[in-house]
Amino acid sequence: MDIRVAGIVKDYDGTAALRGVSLDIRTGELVALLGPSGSGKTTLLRVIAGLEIPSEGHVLFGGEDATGLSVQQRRVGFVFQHYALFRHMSVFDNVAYGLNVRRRAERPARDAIRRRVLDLLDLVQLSGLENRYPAQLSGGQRQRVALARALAVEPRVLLLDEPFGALDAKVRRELRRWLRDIHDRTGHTTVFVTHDQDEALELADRVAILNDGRLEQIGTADEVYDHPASPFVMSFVGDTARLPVEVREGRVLLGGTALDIEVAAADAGGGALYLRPTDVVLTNGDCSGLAGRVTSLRRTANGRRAEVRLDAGGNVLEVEVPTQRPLQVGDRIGLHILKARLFPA
Amino acid sequence: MSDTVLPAPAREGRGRRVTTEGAGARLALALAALSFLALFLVLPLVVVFVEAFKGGIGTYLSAFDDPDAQAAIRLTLTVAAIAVPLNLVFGVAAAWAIAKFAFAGKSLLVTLIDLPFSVSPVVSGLVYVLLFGAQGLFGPFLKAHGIEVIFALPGIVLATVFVTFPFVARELIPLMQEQGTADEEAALSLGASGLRTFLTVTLPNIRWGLFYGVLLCNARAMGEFGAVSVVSGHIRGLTNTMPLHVEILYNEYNFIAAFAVASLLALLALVTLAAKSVLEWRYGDALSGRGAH
Amino acid sequence: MTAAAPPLRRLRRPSAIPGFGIAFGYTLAYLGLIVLLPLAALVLKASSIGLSGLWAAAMEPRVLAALRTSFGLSLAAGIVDAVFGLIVAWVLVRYRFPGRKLIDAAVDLPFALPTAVAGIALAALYAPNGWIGRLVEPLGLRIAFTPLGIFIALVFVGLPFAVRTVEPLIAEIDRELEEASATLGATRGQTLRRVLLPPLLPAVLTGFALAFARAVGEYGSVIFVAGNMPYVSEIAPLLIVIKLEEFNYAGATAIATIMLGMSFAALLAINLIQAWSRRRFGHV
Repeated sequence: MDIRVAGIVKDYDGTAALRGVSLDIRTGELVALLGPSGSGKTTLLRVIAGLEIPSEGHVLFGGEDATGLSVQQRRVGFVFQHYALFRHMSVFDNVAYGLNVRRRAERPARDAIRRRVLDLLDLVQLSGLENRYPAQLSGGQRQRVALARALAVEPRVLLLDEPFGALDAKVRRELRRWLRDIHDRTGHTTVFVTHDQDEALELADRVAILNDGRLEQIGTADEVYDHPASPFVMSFVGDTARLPVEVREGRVLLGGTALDIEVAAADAGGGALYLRPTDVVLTNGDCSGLAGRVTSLRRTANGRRAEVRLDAGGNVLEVEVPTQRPLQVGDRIGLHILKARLFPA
Repeated sequence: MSDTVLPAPAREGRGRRVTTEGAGARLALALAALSFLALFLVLPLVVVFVEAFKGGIGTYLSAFDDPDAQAAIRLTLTVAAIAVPLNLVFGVAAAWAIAKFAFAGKSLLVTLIDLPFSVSPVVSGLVYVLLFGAQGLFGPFLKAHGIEVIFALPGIVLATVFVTFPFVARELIPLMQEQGTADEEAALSLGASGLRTFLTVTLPNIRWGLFYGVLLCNARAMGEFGAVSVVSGHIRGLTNTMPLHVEILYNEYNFIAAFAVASLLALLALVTLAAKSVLEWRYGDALSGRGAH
Repeated sequence: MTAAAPPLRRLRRPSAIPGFGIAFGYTLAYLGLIVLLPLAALVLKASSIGLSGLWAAAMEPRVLAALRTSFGLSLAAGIVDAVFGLIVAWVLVRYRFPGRKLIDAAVDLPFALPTAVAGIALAALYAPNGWIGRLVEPLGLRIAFTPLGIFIALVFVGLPFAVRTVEPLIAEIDRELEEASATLGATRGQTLRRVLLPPLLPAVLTGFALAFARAVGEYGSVIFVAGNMPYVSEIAPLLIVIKLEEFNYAGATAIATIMLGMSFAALLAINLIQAWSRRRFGHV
């Protein structure tokens, strides 16, 4: 089932949480809503589910307008951040709940329900725990019960709010892979909210990046990483340094020094150059171009990070340095920019 | 994006919020609750003041010219003035021992402190009669030494202390448990003496909870009827507290005077409730112990 | 802790904080003198009567009738309090309307209002010539001076217990639970019945038990509206007072012992409910 979000505006007593968001999600796709807190990503997910009523705009499921449908009628599977398991019900009853509350005419027979619940518990690798109560489960197990419960109603789309937010780092990584696996096996159109860019980039087919109630960009991990649509996306996804520059006659000037980069269709005037630490390399001693002095060095997982105070303009730039290159604080080094993005200031 | 192609204006025909009932059910529930409360809470309170002022303000005031009424008011104040401080000291001591230390049998002690709440007021009076009454355990001894307990002030005070026993302790124990011992340990490590630590660290932390407990304790002490009724002997002008005086006036069909005295007690209840609410609204955190850190 | 430590030290964990001895000693002494000694006097008196004596006293028709009146009406009042307490608490926590805080504060009125005042107020309302009594009199209904009057007084005194035990639990309900239930297709009614109500039940039961225990012992607010007719509208606490006035200490003790036993049973039931609820739901 594809989802179409069209021009959604959501006001809370005068403060806008969403300022006109439009988004198309294809059938069977796994999409992440990524953004800082307060960006409106959870609100958007809740609007899709029907838990929030938008002030303006429409939500379409499979081309059909679902905006006027109640939560109950939308048939979405929603996994809540804190799971929202029913504490007084066993794991089995939790998963069976959505089937048990159906009208008699639509309710499957008892043993059909039983079979479906046990199949789902098998899918989420919780077989044998059906008689436990939520209080007797670990965080990761609760998460999986919540997913099984959402899948039990054969939802048209699966929505997850910060699915791994309440788990510790190790369990989080395991569940990430496992969720991808479940998605590939069941083929549900899935949207999940996260503030963790690694999680979004690793797990999702496409990532929708929200900021201040607006959609900044939607695209694959490569697209948002390599072709960010805005300075926000550039700086939110991955480490970024920002250098204020001037553009004159097709040349980029930093504090008067011309940088050896080409700018496609760059307007003349002021601008800001965004670049990642991995997009800058050290020259072999040539300090005639962009150059500076190393002010600090620290070890990272893959190499070293050098903070360089540039001669031009006095800006500080972080540069990834290979471990084999001898370097000390105070050294003067030359830099070469491989790749950068210019945005108007 | 303006989407004029799509039907239905955005604000209409949308599903309603899922975390509340339908408007009809809400109205029905609210009406049921409010009319129940009006019938059981508001009406009894209103009737007291209406009946008290039925004969005008002059008649109302004349109820207090009665020397017996004045004696009852004096006795009630005296009893509260003795009983409340006694239970205040006890409450602080008990809360100190229970909240700041770990020892065996603590939960039993807490249960025992709550015991008077689960005893009928009449039984609370009765136990003192069995102890100090003419046929009681210590009756002959007291009689031989000319000491009057039952049908006298000491009995009334004892019964009042019994029924108001848990109020202060019960308010302070959870509060002080919540606050823990870190503040006191800090003060002691800085060289303060035990008493100084209590006065300058513990007491300020618990002052609102303490006030709250005293408030409730006092309201009950002044208003207690059953227990006091059993031990008082109903001697007019001598062993009648205000609630007992209300009863006597009422049974003599002196309704206006009965309601006039009752209105004072009702006023006390209202002041207590108001103070309690103000405390809860303004110092809710200090009362539950969260605000202390 | 070494074996050489004195016995008292072994019973409590050592602490840097002073004052345990004096605070604990004073607590025990005061508790003993004010509460335990008098209650021991009752137990002593009861044991001198003996089980058969207690049984005989309880089986006396007038006593039996009074106990039946007290317990039966307290049961009914406790149930009404539990039901309306739940509704009142729900409305006060969930709905927003002007005066809500004021009404919430007023729920404690039966705690704060002296029972004698409540008693004469209820009599003034429900007597045949009273505000409400006058309205129902033409229907042939008499409230004051009948068991119905007792019932009303008992509902009054028990109400705050029922409201205050469920109120915090309703306030703590996680909205996500209701939303989860809705996304799974449940109607609001199903959500209330299957998701929200079951975890509240232990608290409702506790509130019922507290209201019931309070009602059984209630005296002041009842005697003014009860009519106090032996065998009909005479409550057990009143019969204790009557026996005392007749200097029948044994009779009074017998009734008091039975009532005390009952309120301890209620207390025990409350503790069991709470322990069960803690085990099952991880909260009270």
